[in-house]
Amino acid sequence: MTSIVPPTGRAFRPVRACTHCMDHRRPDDDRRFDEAFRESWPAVFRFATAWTNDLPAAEDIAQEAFTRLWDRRTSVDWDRPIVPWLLVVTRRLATDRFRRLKAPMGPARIRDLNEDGVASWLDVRAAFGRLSAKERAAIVSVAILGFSPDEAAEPLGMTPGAVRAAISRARDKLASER
Amino acid sequence: MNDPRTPADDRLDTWAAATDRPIPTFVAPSTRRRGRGVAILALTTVVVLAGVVVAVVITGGSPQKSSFETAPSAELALTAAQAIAMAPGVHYALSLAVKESGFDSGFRSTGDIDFGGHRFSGVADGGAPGQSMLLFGGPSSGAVIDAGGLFVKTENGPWVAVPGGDPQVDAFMQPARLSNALVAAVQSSAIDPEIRSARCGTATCRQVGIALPKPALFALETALFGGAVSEPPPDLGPIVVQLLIDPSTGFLTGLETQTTAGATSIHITLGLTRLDPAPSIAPPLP
Repeated sequence: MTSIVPPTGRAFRPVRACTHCMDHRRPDDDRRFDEAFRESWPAVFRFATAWTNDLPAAEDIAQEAFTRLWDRRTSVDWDRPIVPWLLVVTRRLATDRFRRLKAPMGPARIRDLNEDGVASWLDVRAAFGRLSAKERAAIVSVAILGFSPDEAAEPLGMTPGAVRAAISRARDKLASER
Repeated sequence: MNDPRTPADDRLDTWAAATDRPIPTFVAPSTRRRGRGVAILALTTVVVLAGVVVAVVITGGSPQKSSFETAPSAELALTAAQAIAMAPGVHYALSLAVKESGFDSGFRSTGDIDFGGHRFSGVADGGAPGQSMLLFGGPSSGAVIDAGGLFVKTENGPWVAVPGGDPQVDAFMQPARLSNALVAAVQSSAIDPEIRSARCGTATCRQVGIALPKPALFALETALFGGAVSEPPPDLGPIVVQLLIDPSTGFLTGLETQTTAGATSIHITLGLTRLDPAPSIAPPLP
């Protein structure tokens, strides 16, 4: 069983679970999870898409990341930002899944895109396909999700300098026709 | 900070628009277990097929290949499973397609195995352009080489060395372990005793049917993947594998099976070519 270790620092700090209670759910946990899911899903899904360059796979990975949060909802400090932790989990799911040949995942749940959406996605997917996964994730984190290179470093598992370098390479590749 | 826009900005805008999608409903963990179980089942089934077929191929290369036309099916299958440890090497081509609630996903892989040298080389994709690999979830393609170390390549990324290797790949590289697990599975299976033949290309092949019961499948999963596997879904249908063997060479010419778990159907085809001498597989990194 993989142990997902939350990132260190200010972003996320679990509280100690009540070990002597039969049911230690706090009244607001489910509501706070729902709020976090609605607010954080776009970022998590896009981050997963950047790593995988694949929409169905990104949906599945994002669902799995929120499942990890669901499993920990009784010990989460909801007053702290949850997105950085979710992005670390997402990155690990997207990369370690294949590299470490973990247990297989279920079939991806494919949701429909209209014709315009499919055409746009296929076109831009080909352009992003010329980037490495790290370059995609770096430029999406900064240019679309709005993180600074320093903030993006931990979710990406890179140094801030490496993030900047990856963004520069990604911009060059995206600007070129081929 | 008014840098001029470049084509990169336009593509980022397009990417942002394409990924601006409605927020879905969160799927609670309990409703996701089955799909994962099906995928594990599919993987195990592939291993079963690979092992049995490899064994059949190996047996086909033995001096007794002329007996293929008349050998009892049960004896043929059991001897084949026991013979795995003697394989020099194989080339395989695997296709796995899963249909769940009208959605298709899949896995397609080709590669070589050097049993004697304990080496493996294979590439895989989702079976259709842009489709993620069923068994690995995230990427749409990848490659694995196990040759003095485990190396993995994801999509267009570089080769990456994986420290410590991986137990699942190692299982493929241990013929004795695979053989023992498959012998136990075959002994627990129902084997069609009828000697049948079927067309395979321009030739006529020997056809052997093997029905693997659920307990045997679970035991095989546990033997190969350890104690972390889950039991097969209760609505799992029968797993019947049809092997087609060319009696003139003893080589497998085709294999097909289709099973179901509720509304999910799994269709697998696998082809193997015996390699003697074993393939030469080199590590991609120094």
